[in-house]
Amino acid sequence: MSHATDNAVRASGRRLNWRRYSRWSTTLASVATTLALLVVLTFVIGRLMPVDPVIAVVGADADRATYLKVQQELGLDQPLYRQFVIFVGQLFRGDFGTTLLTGRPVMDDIVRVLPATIELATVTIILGAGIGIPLGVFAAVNRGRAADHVVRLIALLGHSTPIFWIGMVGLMVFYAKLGWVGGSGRVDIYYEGMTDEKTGFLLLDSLLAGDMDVFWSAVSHIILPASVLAYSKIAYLSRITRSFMLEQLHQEYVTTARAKGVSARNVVWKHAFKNIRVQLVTVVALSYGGMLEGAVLIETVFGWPGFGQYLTNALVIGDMNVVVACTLIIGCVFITLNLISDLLYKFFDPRIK
Amino acid sequence: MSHIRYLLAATSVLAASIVMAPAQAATPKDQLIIGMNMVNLTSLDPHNVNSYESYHIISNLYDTLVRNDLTAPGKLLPGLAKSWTVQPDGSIEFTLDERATFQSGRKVTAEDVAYSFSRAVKLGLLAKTYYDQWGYTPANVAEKFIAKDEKTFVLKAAAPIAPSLKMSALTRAYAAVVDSKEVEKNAKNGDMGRAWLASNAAGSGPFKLNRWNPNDIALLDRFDDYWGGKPSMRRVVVRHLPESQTQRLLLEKGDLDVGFQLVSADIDGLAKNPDIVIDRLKGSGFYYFNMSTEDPDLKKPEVRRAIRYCINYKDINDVVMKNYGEYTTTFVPEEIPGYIPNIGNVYDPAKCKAELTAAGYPNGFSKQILALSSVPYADLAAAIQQNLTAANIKTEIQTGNGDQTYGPMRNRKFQLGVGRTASSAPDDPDGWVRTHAYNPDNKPDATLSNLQAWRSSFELPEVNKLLDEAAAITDDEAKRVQLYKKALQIFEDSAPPIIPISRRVDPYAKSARLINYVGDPSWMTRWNAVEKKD
Repeated sequence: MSHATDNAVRASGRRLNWRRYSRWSTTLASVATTLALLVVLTFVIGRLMPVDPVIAVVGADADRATYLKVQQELGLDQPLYRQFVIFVGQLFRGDFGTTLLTGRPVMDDIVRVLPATIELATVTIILGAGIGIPLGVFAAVNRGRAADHVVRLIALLGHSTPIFWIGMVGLMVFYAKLGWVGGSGRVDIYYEGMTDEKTGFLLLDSLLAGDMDVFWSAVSHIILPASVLAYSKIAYLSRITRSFMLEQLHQEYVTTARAKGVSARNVVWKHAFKNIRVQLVTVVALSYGGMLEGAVLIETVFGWPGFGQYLTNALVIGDMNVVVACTLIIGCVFITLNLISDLLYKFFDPRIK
Repeated sequence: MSHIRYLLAATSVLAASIVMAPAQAATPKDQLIIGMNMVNLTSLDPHNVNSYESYHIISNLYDTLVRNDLTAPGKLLPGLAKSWTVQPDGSIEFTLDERATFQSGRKVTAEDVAYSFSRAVKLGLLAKTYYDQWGYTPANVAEKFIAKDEKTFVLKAAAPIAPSLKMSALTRAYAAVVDSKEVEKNAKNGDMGRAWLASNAAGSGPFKLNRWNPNDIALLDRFDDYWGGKPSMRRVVVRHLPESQTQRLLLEKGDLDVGFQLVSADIDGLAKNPDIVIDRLKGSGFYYFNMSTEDPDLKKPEVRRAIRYCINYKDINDVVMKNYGEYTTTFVPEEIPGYIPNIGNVYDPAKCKAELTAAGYPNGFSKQILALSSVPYADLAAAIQQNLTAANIKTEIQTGNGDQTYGPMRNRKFQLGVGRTASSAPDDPDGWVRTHAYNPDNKPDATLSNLQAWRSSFELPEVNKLLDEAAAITDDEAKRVQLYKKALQIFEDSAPPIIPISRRVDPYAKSARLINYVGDPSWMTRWNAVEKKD
């Protein structure tokens, strides 16, 4: 190998390295910018909300002196830029402040409500993707036939029926009439507080504690809200899987595979489906992320003490610290999920490797 | 393919578990399960709460000196104080029950009572509204709240106020006695436990606080050594259930023992169920319609008098306010001394139109009504709107949350509004008349925003004088009641800008299995005597 070629290889290696660094630094810079914008935006939203947080704390009938005292305690009498400096300082210390209403640290509350939401979202996404994706593939393969129409009808219904209505009817039928599932809450009310909270995930905690009564109660309680939520996920995922699959099934490589005598099942799963995995990962990840914001309506109907209810209540009463903390967390969840799906792209897509 | 199979297999296992899940049982015999919307339960500090949801829990964590006798309104029962005497100077001397013990194991002493009362005043907590009225200030509490000896507490008079008024207020959560040693142990920077007591408890009540997660759950465990006797319920679970429909389903399935804040349709539905009892507590206040006399049209007494004839009180109470209120005509209810029959509200649409025409408004005018967006406020506003339209008064309803509706009323920046009051002394004419008719200082910066007359910028010096005079009478009950009657008559005769629509009713549903669950109209309901049938 000549010197010239050697140099060229080294140069191209350096370029590659440089490109990799530059890609990583671009990613990092974009994450940092997004985070910074998120912080500014949440602060602005928090301070611009048209509610009086002081009244929320002192109550409707408090007198002026009490009002002013509380306003001062909350630092709300300071100029806006000072409030922002205090705010950023607190964030760096991992301190989201205390809730206006109860005076408890916001972080403690979030640690308490988030597992309830993650548990529900996880069971939902397992059901939703586990049923929705195969259903979409099935519909694409049977395009135009009766099966396809049935799947599309299911999808249309799931997409257009209000979720709280399905929840309400589900409760009335499966809980009140048939007694197959548990009612409101994560567990029968009289089991509340019976299990040691190690992780906050009730299914896991009760299993770890060997408390099978509580475990089965928790299963019977999560199954209905998760199914209701999963129904709309099934509707969405089956529709999108169907269209991704249709696109692939029209490609020439599929025809080639068929012509080569590859079995129909292998054409669908080994060839076509493999190529839509990347897109599906993104869709499922974003879907999952969306649920981590909490499903407010379902949480309300099912008395599920999760993130969505927590945030909504805070919004209603103008609890700014909570709103800001929750918005930041949701933002971070999405940034993280985007990063993860970027990484998964590299894993699934040979071209990026 | 194989992983899809695994997924499907996992899904069917999960689905099968629905069938395997054990059948629903009724609530355990030794646990009381309560459902309510806990959004307003924001603190457990007995001296700093103003929501009925909080009272419910606080009244079981703490004791007060005296308690209301629920079987005889107006009568008081001993609490921490086994007896009390009123001194000629208006001071009240309480003798504490020697059995009374805090959950920490300490005996309840007069020092604890003095500490509790002073705490509310010194910290400027919500309870201070009462103490303010009675003349107590941070400067004088040390000489007015006196621990004479370990078991004798003296509440010295600081202003001419009838002791009976104080006594009835001392039954509220505001006057709960906290364990001063326990609180001081947890105090920070001399805050008298302000931060700590908001989510912890240091009382002598029949139940101990196990855990409270805001907007989620409150768990209380029985205090086995309760000085008033061991409660039957081992545990009480109060669960946040914001949806009325959900509460109804749980009640019908027997998974809930008591449900609060149910909507009218669910109350009607549950009333037909033999396993459920609907208890309608007569509350201490009114749903009202008010007008601001700052408004140039509503300033005229003729207009206000005419408007009072326009509203169909009976129909509104039968339809819109069913389950929430009862028909009423004036501000003192029938069972309270000082009640005057046949004054106040009259529905007469012809007279309404005629008087409006006479006042110079044959074609009416346009105004805005403020109403909370929740039940029954928005419906009440709509019903009134309909009645007023018949008299050519056009109204636009503005609904919103408390800040958006009560806010402008408190700041006297509104035209018309609907709302709900609570009497400051439920068993005495004073509370009922004062809340609605008293306004000792009509200046905008007086901020007497918990007085309805001030909100409406309406001042009757003669009524103020009568109420001051009446509150100071300590020895002549008949004369005192007579003065309230006179004040009420004058108020009603002067075309007041506040119109009572319904006497407030607070309905709740309870399981027929419950024994001795007696609802307190001031929501100081106690659970220590509650038992359950099998």
